[in-house]
Amino acid sequence: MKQQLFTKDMRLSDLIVANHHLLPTLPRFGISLGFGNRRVEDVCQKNGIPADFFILMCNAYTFESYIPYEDTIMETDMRFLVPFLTASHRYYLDTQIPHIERHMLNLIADDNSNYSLALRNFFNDYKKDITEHFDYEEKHLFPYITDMQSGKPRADYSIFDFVQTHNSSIEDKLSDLTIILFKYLPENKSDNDVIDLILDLIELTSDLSKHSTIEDKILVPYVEALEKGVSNDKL
Amino acid sequence: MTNYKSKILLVEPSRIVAEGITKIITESGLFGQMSHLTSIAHLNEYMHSLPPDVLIINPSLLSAEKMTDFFSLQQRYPLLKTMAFCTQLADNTIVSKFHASATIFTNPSHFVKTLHDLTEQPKQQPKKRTGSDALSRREVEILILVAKGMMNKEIADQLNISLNTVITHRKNIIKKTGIKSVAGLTSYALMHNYINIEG
Repeated sequence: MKQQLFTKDMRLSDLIVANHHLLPTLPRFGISLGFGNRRVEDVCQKNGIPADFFILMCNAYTFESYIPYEDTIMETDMRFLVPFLTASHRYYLDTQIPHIERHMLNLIADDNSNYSLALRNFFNDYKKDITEHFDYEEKHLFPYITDMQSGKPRADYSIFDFVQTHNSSIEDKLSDLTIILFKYLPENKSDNDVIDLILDLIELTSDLSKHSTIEDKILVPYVEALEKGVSNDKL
Repeated sequence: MTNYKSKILLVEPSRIVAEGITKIITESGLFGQMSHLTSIAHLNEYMHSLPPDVLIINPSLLSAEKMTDFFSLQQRYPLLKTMAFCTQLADNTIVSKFHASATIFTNPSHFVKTLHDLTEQPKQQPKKRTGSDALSRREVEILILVAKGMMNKEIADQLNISLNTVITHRKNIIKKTGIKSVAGLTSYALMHNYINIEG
């Protein structure tokens, strides 16, 4: 089974048609719509983004089983990795999660049943968890990577510290929230509104799961290789 | 506590995959003897002469008829831990029969951790088949204590039951409700009026 990966001489519009989940990632690269028939390379050049990095992200977002070679990772211009992941965090925290929250609160407005109460508490709890998780990455992991990239190796942190913080509880909570909505919703709620909300939740779940895939398959091996490079230099 | 290192048997048809796994396991230094078979043809003899603590097996080797062999293996060696190692998409109903699972995309350090957790785990109760999806009275009782923030050990003490029993009940609660997190279970308890919001 040979899979055709995206390349930078393809049209950007063809990539989006092949995988519409790429659409919400474009603003995180600073790419705006209206790119016509331009190829990925040209769109990237116009926006000042390394095309190899953009393609690496698109492939990781699109092909479930894609694991880039270490050489591919090391040959890619990774200066945009931390800004891209940070922009993703901002999108989740400032756009998508508040949007879902408004929608949900609207749905249960003026309702003081235990169901609504539980839903509100649960959502706040989830929001707190995910904010803490992103905070950790932005305060510890990302500065560490930026330092390594600018040739300032640090001994006080290692990618292994990050790997150890991984836990599935945040993903579990999002899936629990989806289940609570579609399995246990009181019957008097308007179905179409709830279904819209659930679809938004599923889209967020999928985006977040790609986000952690990128961390596992690209960020971790990349930083491991940087660390290896540092320790080899010392020999 | 103990210096005993678990013996591991890997059944994997691909040599290149098997060598990778063997290297990861050996280099972790956490496990004892590591052996490899490329098919399940001689598995029974092997199990008899050199019973391992953990059996890692590629579920693609287990066709429907071989599954019964696998179940009888689990019955004959109740202490044996099993782990599915999937190199391709695997049927979840098969993978769920294993104590743990990993895939070809699992990060090596996660893989070692999963394997290590498996050897540390106290022996599990075999899965019980429950007919109904409604929570039993005992499960509701436990759900309430979970929602109140109690740990498994505290629940066991309060209800005078063993820790393993609590864990089994909790697994069944997850299976029936589909909800995994404590916060989610608390919401479930609240919306079904099992608990109240305390001021």
